[in-house]
Amino acid sequence: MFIRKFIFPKSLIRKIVKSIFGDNVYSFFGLVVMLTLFIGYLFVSFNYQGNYSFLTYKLDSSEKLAPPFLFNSQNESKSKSLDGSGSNFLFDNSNSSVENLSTNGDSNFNNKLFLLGTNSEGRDLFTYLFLGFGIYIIGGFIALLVSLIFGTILGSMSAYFEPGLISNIAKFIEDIINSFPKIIILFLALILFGVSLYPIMITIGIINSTNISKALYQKIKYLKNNEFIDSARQLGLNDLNILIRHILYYNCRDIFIVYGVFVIADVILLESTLAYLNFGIDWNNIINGINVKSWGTYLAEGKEYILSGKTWITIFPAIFLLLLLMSLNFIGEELKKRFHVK
Amino acid sequence: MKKVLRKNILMKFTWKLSYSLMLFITITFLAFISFRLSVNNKMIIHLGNGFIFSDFLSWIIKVFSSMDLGTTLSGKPVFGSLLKSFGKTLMLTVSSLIISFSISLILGWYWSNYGKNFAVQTFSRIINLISSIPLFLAAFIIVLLSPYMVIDITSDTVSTVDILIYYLVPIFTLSIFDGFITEMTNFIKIRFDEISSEQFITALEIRGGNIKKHIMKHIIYDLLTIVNSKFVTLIGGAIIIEIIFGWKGIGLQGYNAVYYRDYSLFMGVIIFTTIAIMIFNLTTYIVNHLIKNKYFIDNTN
Repeated sequence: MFIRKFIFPKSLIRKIVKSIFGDNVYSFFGLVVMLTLFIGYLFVSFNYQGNYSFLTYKLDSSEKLAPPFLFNSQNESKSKSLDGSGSNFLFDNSNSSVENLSTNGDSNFNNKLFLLGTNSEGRDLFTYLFLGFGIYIIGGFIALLVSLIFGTILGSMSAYFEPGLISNIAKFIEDIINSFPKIIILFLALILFGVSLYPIMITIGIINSTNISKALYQKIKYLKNNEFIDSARQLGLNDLNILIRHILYYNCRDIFIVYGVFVIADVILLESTLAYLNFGIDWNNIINGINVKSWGTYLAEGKEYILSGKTWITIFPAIFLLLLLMSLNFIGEELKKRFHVK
Repeated sequence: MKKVLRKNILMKFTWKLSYSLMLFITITFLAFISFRLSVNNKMIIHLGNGFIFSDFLSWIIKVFSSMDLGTTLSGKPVFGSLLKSFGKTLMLTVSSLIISFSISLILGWYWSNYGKNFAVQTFSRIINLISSIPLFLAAFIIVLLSPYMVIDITSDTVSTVDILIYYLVPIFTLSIFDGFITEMTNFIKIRFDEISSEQFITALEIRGGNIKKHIMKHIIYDLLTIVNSKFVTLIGGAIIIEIIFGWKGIGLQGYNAVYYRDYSLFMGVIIFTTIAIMIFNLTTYIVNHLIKNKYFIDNTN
């Protein structure tokens, strides 16, 4: 009970619930999208050894790309396919007829449906898109942690110790980060550390920390001249205690919540941009030893196939990406409005 | 009065100039250190192998005295090749800045004046939706849908329509999908509400003055203060646009530098972008002060 009160006080929960289930339909839609993706990810990642055979299954034929809504069945392939040997109703599948497809000895795979088709490795795209969401959970968590810590340090240094050397140094560091485009800093990280998870996510976290520090700067500057800070000083509390407990913890939680959502949105945006520019992070062996690709990597791959009519490998990751970014933006904007964060 | 003001501006400008120079030197120093300490170092001949501070000093003197940024992997001088491509990037960035600035001014003005109208509200919602489309995805879709890839600008039979498409499609893509318009319109809406509720506006209204003109002046002044940070994001967007549309600007050079690990070329890209951003910051600072002294003389004292 105490922990619940301390970490999630009722007023905070009420605001979050109101912002999602309130009169704004868009943020509720955002929550539904996020929950669907998260539950799908959990379902896929916990069943990777069990009877859910879409993960381990791989098309064994010469044609790896099977179009969406294609039944894969050894025995009843001709009768079960949606539209005989011609094209189905969404995509042209004339290149990959049903007879070419065969399973690699997996008997569970008869009468299974590739809902969104397969990717270039011959794996089910629907399953692997949900698995790709896990990438953003891991990467988003790292970047969020870095940006919160770094942004809090910068913001509190620049505002609480305002007329002085510490504040000037913090502002100078902020200026250095702000005077570069995001993509140039990421390129610098790429050229120095290569395509690996931690350096790039830490860089994205540092880039985004300036937004948090900017918001914190204004709030702390306003708060530090208040009477309750004076009385805390009179009681003998030191600066660190006042800053961490009375200013940051009790009064700046809303900033962390609101900007946290935007940091995660930025992680998804920047990671998919890098992946599209052929600098996708090597995610092999990060999630349960399965070869996972981020949605941006699928978009980069799809460039090769899109002109030959195999559009599903580009369209569905793009829709997933758009839905996720939109839902995060909706939730973030509504939280911003509720918490009165500018 | 005027002399004092002019002196004040000069003092502030020299301080700003020295601050930006300090920033520039720090950034180049950080880049220098990171290249020196990197694992696969191919630049060691160019950057020196001795004490790091003296090496940096001699390097930066060499850069500014003889404009020598080393050579690329293909053997061309970095400075010349970057200077050639820098014009295209600057054109892309500045023209999209002007376009998005003017679009957002009109939209924001319309939205803040007629915000209760249903059509305006849905329109603003659509603009918000556009901002959540990633720039690279929008550019990718536009490249696919438009006849952009077919156009060969160097051929003799190229028509004026093709030339217009070649130049305008990337510029409009950058100006619409970079999130700039959304932020600006939101900012204008918020500032409009704030300024119109202030006392001097009500006083002006009672006297029968032109309120909208006054609010507009204040908003434009505020916009100039935030346009600095937007220029940086626009340069970042221009890099992505150049890579996807195949414009031979500084962004494509930077991308190739990362792809082939061309350290000296990337160092040149960093220096060029930083200098461009610094110059833009300084000019907006001066313009800000000129406007500030014209309309808000009381604030400067």
